[in-house]
Amino acid sequence: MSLSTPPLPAQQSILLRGGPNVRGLISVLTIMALLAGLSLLFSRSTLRLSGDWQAQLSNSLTVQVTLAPISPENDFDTQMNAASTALKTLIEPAAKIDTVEQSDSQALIRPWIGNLELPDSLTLPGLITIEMPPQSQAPTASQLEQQLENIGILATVDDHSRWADKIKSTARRLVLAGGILLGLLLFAAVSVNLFATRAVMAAQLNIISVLAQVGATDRFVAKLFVSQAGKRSALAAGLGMMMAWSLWVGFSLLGLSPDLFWSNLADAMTDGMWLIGLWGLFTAVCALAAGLATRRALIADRRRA
Amino acid sequence: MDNRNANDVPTGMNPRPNLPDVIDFRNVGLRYGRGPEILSDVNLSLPQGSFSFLTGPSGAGKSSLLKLCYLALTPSRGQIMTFGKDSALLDTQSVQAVRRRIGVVLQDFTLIDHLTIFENVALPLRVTGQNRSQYSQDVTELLQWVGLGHRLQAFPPTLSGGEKQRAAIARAVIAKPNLLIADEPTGNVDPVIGRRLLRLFSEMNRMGTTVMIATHDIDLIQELDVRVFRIENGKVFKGLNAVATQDEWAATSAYNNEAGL
Repeated sequence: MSLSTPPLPAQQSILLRGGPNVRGLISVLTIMALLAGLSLLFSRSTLRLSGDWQAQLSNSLTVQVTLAPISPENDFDTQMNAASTALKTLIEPAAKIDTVEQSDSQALIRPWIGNLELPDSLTLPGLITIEMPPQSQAPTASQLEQQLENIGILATVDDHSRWADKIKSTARRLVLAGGILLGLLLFAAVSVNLFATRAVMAAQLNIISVLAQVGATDRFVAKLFVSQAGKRSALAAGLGMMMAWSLWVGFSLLGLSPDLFWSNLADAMTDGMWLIGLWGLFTAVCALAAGLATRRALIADRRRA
Repeated sequence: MDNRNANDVPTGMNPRPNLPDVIDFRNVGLRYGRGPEILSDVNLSLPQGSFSFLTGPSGAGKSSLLKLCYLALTPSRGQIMTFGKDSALLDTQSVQAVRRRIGVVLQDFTLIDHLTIFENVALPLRVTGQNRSQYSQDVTELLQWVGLGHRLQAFPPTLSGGEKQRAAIARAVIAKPNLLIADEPTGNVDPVIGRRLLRLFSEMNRMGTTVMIATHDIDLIQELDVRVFRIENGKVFKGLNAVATQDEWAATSAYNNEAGL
């Protein structure tokens, strides 16, 4: 026989596509992916924000000078200027040293005094803030206290490490919470895919029987379902991540909480890469769940045909 | 009664005695769940290259026996040797490999509705990993040969019963199986197409394929001088050549009935 082969259309998918249930499933997976994406972005923002705050705190020091009794010869400003000058000799010249004015110091105390006049004899806190230049190492609080004491100035130095540690641990907890939420969403996506694959297999039992009849291997059959679930999940995850990214862009453009949302393109791009990674993970996990469900079903039904 | 003797009577068209039997049933019994045995003490063998008919009334167990042949069912008792191996001892991969050597045509055609006829027929080749360019010519030619060349892109629900039947047969033979099992393959086709299909089966048998066809069609059986098994009340009776007429069959049945089978 020598017959010319007419052009054939593209190879058809062996499994059925579409259907109302599939649309519903894609919607559910999209919402899960959206929530997972938002959870990831929230965790990333928390980490970034905590990093920024920690950097700011670790680069600055607050020196509380214990002032001698105020007198006309030795007034507040004289004592503070002396302390400020001494500090300049002890730390990096590029550091920014600001002395808190007497009126500002009084203002700090006023909330505890109310409307009463401040007595002249009241010892005011003499505060000096030091901001180290970027990439420079600030001296430790105890070092600086010791150095000040050596030149006759009694002072308490706060290097903000207490606050930095609190921010760090709070941020860690928030990131952990985000991670747990992400894990739960992925687990839910796995469960949804397990049930969906079982339902899809049940609905296409006749096709599986035909495949078994013509000698298809379990691997071949599983590949069909994994591929179908993978495509479905990739679509849903893609939609969900796009929506999460768009929402974050929207919030950033609206200027809502600029510390939390993106303030520059670099952050948006970096988080976008993370979302792409999550898209891959979401798709892979869903496909894996489908593979697991298929394998279990095929093992349970060895002699089908 | 030792039904194994039954296999000695007729010969197929091209039996090859040096090779193990394609199928060898040894005292096989089959029951569904806790129901009664629908096949009892079946002893039957299909030598390599043989051509056999399986006949008997509706509900006698023909389809169940065929399902045992292509490992879609496991026997309740007894042993089935498939291509020389005990089917009970085959692992999953081996069962699938055996199935790839068997072409099956069932009464309900088992075509996949959302696939075109071309794709349905190509399925046994596709599951072995062959790509489209390798098989498209063969599939097209075979479909033209069975008279479906103009329906390559048609979907099963749009086909007549006869066309579906031919598509199912084309799918069963496309991978050139070692054993071809067909359940009433000419039941829905006109006599001309029926003869054509029978010629296809004979041609495949001539090329070495072992063929077993379950049918009610006495005319079809009488077309060929091959071994015939008759199944009745779950028992497989000794084979007679098809030229042995209905009277002779009746006598055989009477004999078995007298023997208490």
